[in-house]
Amino acid sequence: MPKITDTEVDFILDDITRRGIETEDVRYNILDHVCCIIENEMPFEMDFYKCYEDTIARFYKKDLAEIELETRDLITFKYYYAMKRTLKITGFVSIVLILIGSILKFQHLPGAGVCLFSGLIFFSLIFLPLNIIMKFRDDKEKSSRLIMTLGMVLAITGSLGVIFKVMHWPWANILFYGSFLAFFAVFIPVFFITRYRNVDTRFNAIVQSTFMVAACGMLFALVNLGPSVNIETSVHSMAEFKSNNLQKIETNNANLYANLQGVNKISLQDFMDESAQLKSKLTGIYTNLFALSNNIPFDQAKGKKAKDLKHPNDFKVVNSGFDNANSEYSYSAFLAAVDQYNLKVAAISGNTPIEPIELGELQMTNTIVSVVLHELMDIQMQVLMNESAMLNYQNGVLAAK
Amino acid sequence: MYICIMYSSELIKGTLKTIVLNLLKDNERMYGYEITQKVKDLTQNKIQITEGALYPTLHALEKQGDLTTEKEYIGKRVRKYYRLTDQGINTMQDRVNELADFMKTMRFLLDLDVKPGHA
Repeated sequence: MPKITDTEVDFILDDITRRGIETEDVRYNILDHVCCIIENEMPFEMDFYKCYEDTIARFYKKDLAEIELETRDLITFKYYYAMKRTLKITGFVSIVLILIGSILKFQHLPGAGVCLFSGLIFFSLIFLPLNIIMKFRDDKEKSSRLIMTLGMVLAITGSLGVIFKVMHWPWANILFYGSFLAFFAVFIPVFFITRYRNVDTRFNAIVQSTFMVAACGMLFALVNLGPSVNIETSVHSMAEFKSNNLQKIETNNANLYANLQGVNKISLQDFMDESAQLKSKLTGIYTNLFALSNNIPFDQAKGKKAKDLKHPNDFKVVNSGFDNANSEYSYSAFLAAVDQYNLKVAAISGNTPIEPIELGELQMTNTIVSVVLHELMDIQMQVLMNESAMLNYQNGVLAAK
Repeated sequence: MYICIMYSSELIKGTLKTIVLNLLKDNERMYGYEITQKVKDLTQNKIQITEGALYPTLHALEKQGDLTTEKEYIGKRVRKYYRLTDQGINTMQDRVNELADFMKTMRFLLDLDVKPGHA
């Protein structure tokens, strides 16, 4: 065939573009190759368009876009071995960090959060996405790719949910339980059905689905096993018992005080005022924490009992409403009130049996709200016992006279 | 994508890069059509590289840094010449050695009177 004209070149270029060759370099390579074949191999008298059709058909099996796809695949996986190495390294690092983090967390040692956080970040944001890319290279079937993508996305959101939970960030439960539910209710059935249909993968589908259902079931049982009803009841009855005792001693003390006439009344009055001040502070902190935890106004929380807490394991409310609060109900305000009370006790104790309040090892920060409420009740009990001791002592003095 | 006319594609799969790199070692620079013709001539039509296999491979080798390209304009056409880089020479040597060793092993395995060894 004579030399290809510019018009024919334009025609070829347009046609190969229309057939799905988007990469410019590939387009020009094919154009030159087609021109070479037509010019060198086709009969001189043959029609150009017929020559072109015959030539271009040699380039593909189904359609010309195969070359574009193959090129992209080869270029995309240029870093295949580097990715494989990164996958191995990040997988190993993730496992080590997660294991160390878990041990530290279990032993309540510092560094657990950092280890778990970085391990899970490596796992969910590097290891799992790389895994998807690598699997895509090996499996070109659409349904398999869809299942793999779904599984990996759920694994990533689940891992992020764990990170959020460890770091006490919001939306942790939605991320974790959402992905867990979707994995159980969507992924496993889809995985099973699609794999079961294929005779080659049927046996593996049964085995792998069984593993996944069993693992999910066990995990579900674990994450949903809160304290048993019996334990909850016993904790509630303990709170009720303490509350009733406080009430009884309070009434008893009020009666004793009312009946006391005579000696040392001024000093007693002073002590009782100080005691009332501390009790008021304790009640205020109790009510404030309850109101914040149940998200109700302060006035509505007055007189509520610990058993009525909606979220007894609430950690955040203690952190924001007590530990780090800047109000009259903060931990520092509480310590100041106890110090003031102890100073008064020291000043007037003399021969009286009253004792200062020793907080000792009591941990009131970095804990859950129900624990703090119980601790406040215990301290209140100690204040009332001091009152009681003082009043009985004064009664004894009076009787001796 | 498919390479051959006489041998099964499974048999030759994986050797295309080696073939291309080795050809470019002997010929300073070549363009796509030239490569297919050269292979056809050298193998007396036993191996014909298809365009669908050749161009993705050339692009991949270029991206990997084994090949460098020069463009020449022929009217409205652009012809891309491929040339081995220094890295490409090393890659070619590695691949040829690997293939030679593999062939020796296969000859031993198939009892064709050659003992395996490292090339």
